[in-house]
Amino acid sequence: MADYLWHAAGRFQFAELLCRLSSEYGILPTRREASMEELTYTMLLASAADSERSGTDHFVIEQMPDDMSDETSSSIFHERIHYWQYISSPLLQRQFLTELDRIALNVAAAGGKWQQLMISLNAISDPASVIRTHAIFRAQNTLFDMATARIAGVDEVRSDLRTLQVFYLRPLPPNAVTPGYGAVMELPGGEAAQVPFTTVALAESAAYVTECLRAGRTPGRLTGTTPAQQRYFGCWEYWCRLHSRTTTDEGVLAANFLAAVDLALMGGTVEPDDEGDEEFRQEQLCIPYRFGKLAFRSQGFRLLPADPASKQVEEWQADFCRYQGWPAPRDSSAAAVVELTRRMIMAYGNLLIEDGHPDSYLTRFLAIPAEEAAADPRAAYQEIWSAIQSATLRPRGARPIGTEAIGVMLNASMYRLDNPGMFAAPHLFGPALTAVFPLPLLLLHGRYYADHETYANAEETLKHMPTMPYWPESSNVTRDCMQLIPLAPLADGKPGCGFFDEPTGKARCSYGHFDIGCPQAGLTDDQSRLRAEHGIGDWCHKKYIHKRLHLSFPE
Amino acid sequence: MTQEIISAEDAARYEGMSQADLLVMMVPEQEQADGLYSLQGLVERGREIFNARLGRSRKAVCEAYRGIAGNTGNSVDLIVLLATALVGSPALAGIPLLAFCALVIKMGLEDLCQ
Repeated sequence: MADYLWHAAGRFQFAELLCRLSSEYGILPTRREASMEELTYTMLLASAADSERSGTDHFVIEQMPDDMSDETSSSIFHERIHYWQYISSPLLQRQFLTELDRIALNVAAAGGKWQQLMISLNAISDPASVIRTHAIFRAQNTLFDMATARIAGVDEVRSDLRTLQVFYLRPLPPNAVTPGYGAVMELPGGEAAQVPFTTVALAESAAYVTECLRAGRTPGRLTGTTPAQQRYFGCWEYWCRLHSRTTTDEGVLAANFLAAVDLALMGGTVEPDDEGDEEFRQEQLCIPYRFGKLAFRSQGFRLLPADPASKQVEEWQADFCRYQGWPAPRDSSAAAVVELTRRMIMAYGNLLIEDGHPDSYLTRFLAIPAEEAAADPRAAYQEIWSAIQSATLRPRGARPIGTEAIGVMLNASMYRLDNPGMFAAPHLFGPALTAVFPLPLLLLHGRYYADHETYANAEETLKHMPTMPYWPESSNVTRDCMQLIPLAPLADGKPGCGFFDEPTGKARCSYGHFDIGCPQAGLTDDQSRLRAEHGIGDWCHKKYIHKRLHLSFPE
Repeated sequence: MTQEIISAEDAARYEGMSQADLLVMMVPEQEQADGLYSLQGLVERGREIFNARLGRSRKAVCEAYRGIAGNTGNSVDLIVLLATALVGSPALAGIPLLAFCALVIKMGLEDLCQ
């Protein structure tokens, strides 16, 4: 039976909210469904020709084929966890928003129409701030060698094998540093492994532990110094050693680790350029710093039981924040709801005015003080949410790129407020979270798939989330992703297309999959002939986005 | 572009690594540092890159193999000889050459070049 299952493994790209699948072994879904392959090819030829004529982009979204292997299902669940982390955690939402701002700056620099992107109010007027904030978030995201940072402090943890928590200052060109914590751990063979508590290390460890708990497996421990060991086991190993004097129950350790990582990704109640207490500012904005503080102080704090109820997680996180002098997770989520609602009002401003609402109506909601709105977001914003919901129900022109993604983030933040604790235990609440927040897009060998576990159209959204602020259609969220993918390299000022995979030299889009050719990479004679025959010209997803942003194509 | 130094010590280290760990090394450092993968996803991404690079360099790899076949039965020496023969191959630019060669040898050069 196992021979007939198809296999793939995933990675999540947060700037596009995309789950990319790799499948270089076993039976591919595309080989299993030859009839679908032909049908999709025919549809692509027709829709690409139509796109070339009309200037709008079309693409074919397929349902995931059946007979997926258990490993593949588990891998996709792992990527869903990352998606939930990014859409629901204020600090990760900010990373996504900063990527959009950074893209907009580069679009503006190239003379393009940056207004087509959903950006911060000050993105264009204060580029220095955007560049600085983007660099800070990137630095706290990525794994790196702590030997390249200045070690400013070391605390020893009591454990069987020597374990240190180090405080580092990481240089941030041209003239700044960003603080953070990490661990250096002696291994049984005498080697030393290190892990900085960056977003990638924390998010991966938490997703790995969750995946194990869901499958009923005991999470593995650190046994080596390879990058994979560091990535998946590093933070988890440190957590286990930190609490080894209190408990060795892996269920208890895992429940507390997941609650702690979830709490580390919250924060965000201050702005990067705010004045005031520097330590508090870093605790609110810097994930590696925040987790280090949280982890070390958790040694003196009570532990959650294994498989806790969501209410217990909520209380643990709120109590810990009181103990630490931090705003509670509720405050962080409410602040995110305020910020995201304001952005949605800006995105829907023209439509709301078209619907007969005067300027003063919009200003009324934008002018509600943040603290007042955060105290009861539903009371403050239900009226404007309803107006936006009405606006989404009528067919309208395209919203700024990123609007739907931000709408989903707004929903996820409200969902956190209404269902606290659930995002910290996705292995216990996976089906509920998947029904409400399915992955918007899966990409495998240049074909586009909907999340197979659920089909969240507007009706489904209404059924599952009667109290959600925004009603996104799943196809619109997918469209947002499809527009963000070709744009992604622009965040680093690079030309090219996010569908083009540099290391393999392949165009990972439908045009590449069906050998219609990638205009960015250059067309063969056969591809040019095929395109001419079907009236496709040099059309591709990237050309659409360049037309929309008034950028030259190809660059 | 930085040039990888070919040493027997490094070759021995790669020879002692598992295929999965070597495949992970095919994924560019920046992509690894930024990316969020499932455990198998990182290995599969490495396999994707390895297969693509091998596809483009198979002729050069097999020619190099034919030149060194029979010179040694020691796999560490084989890694060093193969890497030395492939230095500067444009199809292998940007990936760790010794790790690539260690993978090729672990996967079976004879089968690959048949």
